[in-house]
Amino acid sequence: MEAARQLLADIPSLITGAAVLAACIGALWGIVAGALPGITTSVGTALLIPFTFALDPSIALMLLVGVNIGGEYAGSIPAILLRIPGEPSNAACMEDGYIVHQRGETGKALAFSLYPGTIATLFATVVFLFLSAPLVDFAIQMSPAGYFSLFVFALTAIAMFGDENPGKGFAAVFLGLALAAVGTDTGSAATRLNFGFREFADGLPLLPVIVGLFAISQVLIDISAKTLPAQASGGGKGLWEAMKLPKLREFRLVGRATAIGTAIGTVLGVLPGMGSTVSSFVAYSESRRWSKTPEQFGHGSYEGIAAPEAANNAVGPAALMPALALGIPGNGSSAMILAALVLQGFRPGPSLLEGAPELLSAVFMGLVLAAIATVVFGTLLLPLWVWLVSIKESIMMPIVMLLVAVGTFAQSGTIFDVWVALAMGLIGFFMIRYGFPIVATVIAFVLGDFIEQNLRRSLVLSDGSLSIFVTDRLSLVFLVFTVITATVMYLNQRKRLKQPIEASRE
Amino acid sequence: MTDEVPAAGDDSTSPAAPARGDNVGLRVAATASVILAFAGVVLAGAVQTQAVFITDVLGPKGFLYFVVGGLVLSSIVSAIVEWRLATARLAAGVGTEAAPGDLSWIRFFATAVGFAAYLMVLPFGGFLVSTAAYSMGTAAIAGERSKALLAAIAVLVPLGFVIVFEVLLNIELPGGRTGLFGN
Repeated sequence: MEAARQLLADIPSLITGAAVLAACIGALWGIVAGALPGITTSVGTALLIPFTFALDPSIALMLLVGVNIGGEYAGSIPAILLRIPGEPSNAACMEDGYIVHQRGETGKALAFSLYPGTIATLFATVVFLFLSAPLVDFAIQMSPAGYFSLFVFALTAIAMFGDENPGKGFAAVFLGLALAAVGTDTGSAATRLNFGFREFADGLPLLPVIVGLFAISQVLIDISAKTLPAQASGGGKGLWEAMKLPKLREFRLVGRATAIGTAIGTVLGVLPGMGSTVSSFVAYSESRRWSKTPEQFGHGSYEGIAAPEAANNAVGPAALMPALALGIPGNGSSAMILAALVLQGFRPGPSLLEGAPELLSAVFMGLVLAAIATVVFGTLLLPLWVWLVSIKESIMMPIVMLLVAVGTFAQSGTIFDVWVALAMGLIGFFMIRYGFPIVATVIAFVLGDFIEQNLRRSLVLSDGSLSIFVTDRLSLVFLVFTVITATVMYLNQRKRLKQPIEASRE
Repeated sequence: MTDEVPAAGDDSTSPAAPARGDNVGLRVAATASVILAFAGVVLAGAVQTQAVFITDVLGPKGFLYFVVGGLVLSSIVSAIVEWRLATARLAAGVGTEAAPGDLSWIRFFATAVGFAAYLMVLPFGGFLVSTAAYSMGTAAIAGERSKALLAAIAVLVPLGFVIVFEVLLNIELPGGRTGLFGN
């Protein structure tokens, strides 16, 4: 409580014109990136990172948090209008949203994503206010062994979640760790894995790796797809005619779904690897279970839009808690926010906020301002977002690639880094195509050095004995969590694998 | 259903067919081999690593060996899971694991090579000329066929970048505005 009070006390000094502008620009860019074909929220965030380098860390954080919040909503726009989810997490609202749009209620479909999503963001932000500072205090007391085991737990969850083949998830994690090991070893001054490139003496540059893996790979995937999506049609009525927003009494219909989605998104968002997609689908199924009209789900239910979108939006602030307090980003967006802080000279981990507690207040402020900006821009500029969805991908592709080139060059002043981004883009393309999760690689890459340092420090403390990971109580707890998580996820995956086979037999 | 239109430049019109059963072994082996090859690269790097002084028990090589071990284990797990999944699906008569989505390799290579060529030409051609050619070419690869729109992209995209980044944000553009030809 005291920590929350302290956090709130810092806020007045942070409310400046630049801060409000940063959150608004971030939210606007997030909505644009989410709505534009060929750009996702992750790509939008990655493209903006180079331009945050010169900003004050608090302002940079507010900008990126704004993109995160705006993008969470905007991913539902192509899902509802085109039946193409902006992010995987928006797939849960796609079926009902598209049917509502086809009925000629486009405005209502988008509003039932926007308003419940904003409520969820604000609720999760309040939770962030109360939990993040105690989490930082807890993190500071952890030993290197505890930290290493915590990372093992987080990376195991991230590797095992999502793809049906955990081997590929772990391979992606170890790829990230290997990329992080490139360059001069801080402990011994030995150069590692640079294969003759002097440019890699300081390690692989963070920004080109992230931008390449997220943005270039996505362009390559989109541009080489056999079929390109059609543009938004008017649904049942003309597109502009369908823009009417819901009446107040209609919002009451989605109250329960919003509450369920908000609670699920806030709780699951804190867990690494779970992220928006799991939360959205769990919220959808739970909301159907508790609904008075479950038969409408899948046939244009308003609740079927509100519940997953509330969960999806609650994850944004929730995932920032472990990212900032423990240095463990739970999803791609929080990994990029962490990467932006690393570029600003901060080290991930418990010391991240030790010397700069005002960053927590900045994030809290950014979340609130961005939520307000998103609801304002989302409502007032609704026709603009609908129009953006219909912009041709052929126009967006070169612009995204140019933003990568200009942004990467702007940060380092050398075209070599753009070549690195291209190489990473090619790697990312093959990873996505063959089912390797690139988010796992990025998170492992950002944390790699920190993981290695904690492993080495632990072994120094124990004279080389691995028993320290069991004798340290916190480390043991995280290792037990790791085993439990891996077992549960393995059993779930087995169950999931059997389902399509059994369904096809029937 | 999403209305989908064939993209201009498609080099095939046949629908994606499920992967044949006799490809399973090859695909499993290929995936595992790629991971193992990468493990080999890291191992080679670990062997070549020479430390001037070592301050801890693990040293600079230890973590690399840890990564190599992880990659080898991952390749084994990946191969086993993929094989079991594919054979179970075959036994159920639903084909092997869903094949990756069909794609146009021509457009993929054209995009990658086009960007590489752009980076090579930038220092000489400068941002304006190189970007005009690159943005028009990439839009064409992405399926744009309207000559008027392609011309508009060639003019407006580089100009837009110069105005936003160089003039408004004071950010240096790669290759300079006119490159070596302008000097």
